[in-house]
Amino acid sequence: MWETIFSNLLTIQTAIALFVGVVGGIMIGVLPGLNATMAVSLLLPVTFAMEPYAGFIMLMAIYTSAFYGGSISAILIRTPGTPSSAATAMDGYELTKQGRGLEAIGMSTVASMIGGTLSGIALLTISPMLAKVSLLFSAPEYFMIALFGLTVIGGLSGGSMIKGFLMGAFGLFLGTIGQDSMTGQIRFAFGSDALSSGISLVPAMIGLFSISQVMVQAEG
Amino acid sequence: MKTTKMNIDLIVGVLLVLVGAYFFWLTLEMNPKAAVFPKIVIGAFILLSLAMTIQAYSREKQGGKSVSTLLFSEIKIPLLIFALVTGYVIALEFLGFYISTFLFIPLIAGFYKNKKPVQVIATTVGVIGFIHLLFVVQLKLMLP
Repeated sequence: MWETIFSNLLTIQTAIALFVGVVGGIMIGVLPGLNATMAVSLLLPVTFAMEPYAGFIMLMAIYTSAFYGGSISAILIRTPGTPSSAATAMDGYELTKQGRGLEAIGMSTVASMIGGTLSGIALLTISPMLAKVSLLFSAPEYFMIALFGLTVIGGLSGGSMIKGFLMGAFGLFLGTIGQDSMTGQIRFAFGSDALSSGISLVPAMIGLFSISQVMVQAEG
Repeated sequence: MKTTKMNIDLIVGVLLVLVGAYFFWLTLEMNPKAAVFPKIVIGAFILLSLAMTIQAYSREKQGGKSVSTLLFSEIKIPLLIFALVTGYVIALEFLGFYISTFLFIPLIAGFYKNKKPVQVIATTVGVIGFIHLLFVVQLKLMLP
């Protein structure tokens, strides 16, 4: 069995697929607004002409590399390339301002490698057990997760708790824009089709990080 | 040019109270069930804005370094940039992506006093071309 596995994995085509997947995934992940799923969609047609093993390896490489690529723009220009890099933007950009951007990218690379390896091992070994646990989650647990997210505001508020909770309330208000799931009422859309479906995560993230960074740069 | 320092927390607090009041008024015309959660959230928003306003006012009365002050000249350029970006977003709705972007990039370049036409044209064509290739040609999506 192991001989079959290694003979399929250690081929030239697989190596090329891995290289193309990593480079392509990083390039797409770096671009704000494009996420890992979109990276897979963009490069999926390339895998049609490939061997199955090479195709799967390329898709996995694209997906994982896109998440890593998001941290590069998060660190260098405080604009996360993927939603998961939002937290990286806060600490990584501070290092860039100190002239230690390359060091931050190095740390991000090593952390991504370790995290990806450990999560791959977890996926192979304990995912059936994790799936059973995930099925136990229901409405009370989702509510507690949302509440936990809001309490993080207290930790991120810095000097003024009032301002922190004020922005938390503003964020909750932005979540009410769009169609109400219970009654179907369109709220605060002002006749706009774009607002009728609400404000999704990527536009909110770009508005929060990119536009504010543009204004900060303009101030300088 | 105004040279007096503005108590920025006080001004922002008052603006946020007015904005919150406007959105609360909008919820009065909604389906009562759909308006419950927005009313709670906007009510909290207005109360917190009032708290921030009162805190800013009391700190100004006491004086000291805890008052957040800004000169208008410090925020003039960022406000102009924000106005330009808002204008671009509104223009997307009426003129579409291609015309809005074709006008916006040279406008921003001129705002930052970039007088190299080759650079501006190359950036404009490059951005529009890249987004067209990626989203329209490859992903088969429609742009505004």
